[in-house]
Amino acid sequence: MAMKELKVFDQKLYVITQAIADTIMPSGGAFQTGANDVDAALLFDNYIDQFAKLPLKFVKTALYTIQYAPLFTRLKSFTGMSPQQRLRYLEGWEKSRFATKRNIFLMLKMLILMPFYSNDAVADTIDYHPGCLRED
Amino acid sequence: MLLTYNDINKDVVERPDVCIIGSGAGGAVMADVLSGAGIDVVVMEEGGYYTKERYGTYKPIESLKILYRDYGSTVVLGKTSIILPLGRAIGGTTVVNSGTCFRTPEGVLDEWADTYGVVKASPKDMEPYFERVEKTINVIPVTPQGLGKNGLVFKRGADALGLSNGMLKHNMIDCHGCGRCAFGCPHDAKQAVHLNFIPSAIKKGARFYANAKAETIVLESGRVKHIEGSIINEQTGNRLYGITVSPKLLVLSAGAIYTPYILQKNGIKLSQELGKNLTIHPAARITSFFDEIIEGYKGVPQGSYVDAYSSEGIMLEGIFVPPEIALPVLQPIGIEGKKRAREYNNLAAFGVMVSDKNSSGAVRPGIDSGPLITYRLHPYDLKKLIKGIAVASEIFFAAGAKTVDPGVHGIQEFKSSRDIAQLFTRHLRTTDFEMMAFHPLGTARMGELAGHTVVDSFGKAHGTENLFISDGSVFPTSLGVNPQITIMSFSMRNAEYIIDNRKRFLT
Ligand SMILES: Cc1cc2nc3c(=O)[nH]c(=O)nc-3n(C[C@H](O)[C@H](O)[C@H](O)COP(=O)(O)OP(=O)(O)OC[C@H]3O[C@@H](n4cnc5c(N)ncnc54)[C@H](O)[C@@H]3O)c2cc1C
Ligand code: SF4
Repeated sequence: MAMKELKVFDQKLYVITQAIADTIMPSGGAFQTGANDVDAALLFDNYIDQFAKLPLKFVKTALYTIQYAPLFTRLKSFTGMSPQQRLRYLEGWEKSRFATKRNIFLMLKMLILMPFYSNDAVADTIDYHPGCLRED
Repeated sequence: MLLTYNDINKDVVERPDVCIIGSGAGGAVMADVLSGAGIDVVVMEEGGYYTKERYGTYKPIESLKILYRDYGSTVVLGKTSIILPLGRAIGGTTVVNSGTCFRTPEGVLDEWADTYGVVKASPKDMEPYFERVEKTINVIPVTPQGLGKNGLVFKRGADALGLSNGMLKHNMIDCHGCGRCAFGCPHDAKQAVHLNFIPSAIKKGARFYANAKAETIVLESGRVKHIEGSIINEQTGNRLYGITVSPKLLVLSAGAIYTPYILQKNGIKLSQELGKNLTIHPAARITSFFDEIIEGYKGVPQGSYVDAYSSEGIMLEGIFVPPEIALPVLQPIGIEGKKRAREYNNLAAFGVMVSDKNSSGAVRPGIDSGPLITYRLHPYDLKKLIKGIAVASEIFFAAGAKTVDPGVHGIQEFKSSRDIAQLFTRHLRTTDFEMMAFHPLGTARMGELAGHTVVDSFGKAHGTENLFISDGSVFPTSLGVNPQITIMSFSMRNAEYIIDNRKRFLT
């Protein structure tokens, strides 16, 4: 499936990214579309295909850290957790007192959500219709 | 002539009078004025050549990827990381800037003369250059009709509080108010330099190479001999051909980050001040939700200002970005966060910028392929930022906001103006603030005090015979206002100095 179109991630990173993206932006709620409805992990992979070596390393390391860090504290990897556990765990990153930890997550969240919201179908669901003040 | 990597099929060798590295605010004006005097000019620009037919069709995130360096996320390291977007294209950062135009404040010009010995740059000396630049790029005030609702609600709040405010001046013709200035104006209403100074220079014979990255500068006994670089395939980032330019004079206009970086990478020290004294004009954003529909993406995003506290170095200027840039930052994760996104059309935003008189940073050669940029925000400047955030929050409430998000970690969004006091009562650290910056300056500062400055009052590098710097690097202090007019005007003045002294520099 999506594997064929991946430019940056291998299948393993793709699955981790899917789980993170789904936790950040689940389906349902104020609007139906969620990350996995538009394959946000693939959009993210394609978006960062021209990243320089160092930022790319940063992204991959951040994804692996989120996936495996809970092994030490919760004896489970991120993908091994329930959706509720994943949400609480990522909220811990998002609201962390440690600026570095928080910023790593915020950067990742930003990179995942940027291509998500750039998708026309998603823009529609939030009633975003770009246009000018003057349409002539 | 303007050539891109598509037009080149072999190594390039050039022997012009002047080579300019960088085609942004500084480089474009320099190229136009020099070529107007019959001087043979070659410009090397690392970025590609884009027109409205291309960037007019890009989504904002594509513009970030294509028109900016590092996807618009160049990072400044310090206690807190600050994002410092830099343009990379024919036209440099002017292609993606907000179009706001300010002359250099008189007090700043006086300070440069008094403290750094900068000569012939008094307000009176600079006046004709400001005028010529403003005429060329068509600087006019934004009209209230062009402001859009985001600017109008803020104005309503500022007026209610009796705070001095007004419309900003912009370089534009026939603006449609589509709110995309920072992603390439799809109507070419914003008069970035690739629409005026660059075509004018080309008409006069200047040769622009897009996708041409300068890498090596060979300097022997104080004289630049030649510059070597690569013609880069824009799609793949791969080197296609070499480019060697052997000029009589080199002008570095690669911007306040890359000008010192290229020199440092080539072991050219010039002065112990090179790469130091970086100011960035740090900025914070304040967002707010209203019951009324705002649709802040319609209108000139940076159309108005509040200057009630400008004497303290605090400027409030409009900002607004499309959902793909705004929501990833504003929306908390999970189902709850989606409520916020659904209210995007009710969102208003404004920016606070503080003049960094006490803070400073540095550019050094990094470990990877780019520079290491560091910056320390002085507590005094942080205080100004906090005050600016508080003022903007008051203004939003006075305009009828439901909630205001000050963008400070650990502080919940304000529900009423009473909550604003937390900004002063809570112990807040630099790391609690989300900051960005758009105006890097100062890393090769000018003046006549050799040892304390890198270039003289006209941009000639101390200790060299034929190397000039003409871009944002040369300004000794923060301006406290947006810098493009200052950069263009000083570049025009420096170009005339070179012309007046052509016998010395060009024979
Ligand atoms: C989003 C944003 C909004 C802004 N809004 C405003 C505004 O409203 N008003 C205002 O006054 N200012 C604004 N600015 C800032 C302003 O645009 C810049 O300060 C100004 O363009 C800097 O001019 P410069 O000549 O120093 O560098 P730039 O304009 O950045 O030009 C430098 C050029 O050099 C090229 N270059 C670098 N290294 C090399 C190399 N090795 N080889 C070849 N080429 C190279 C770069 O690709 C670039 O094109 C904004 C900036 C940003 C990012
Ligand atoms: S608001 Fe739109 S039309 Fe006006 S200058 Fe900005 S991008 Fe161009």
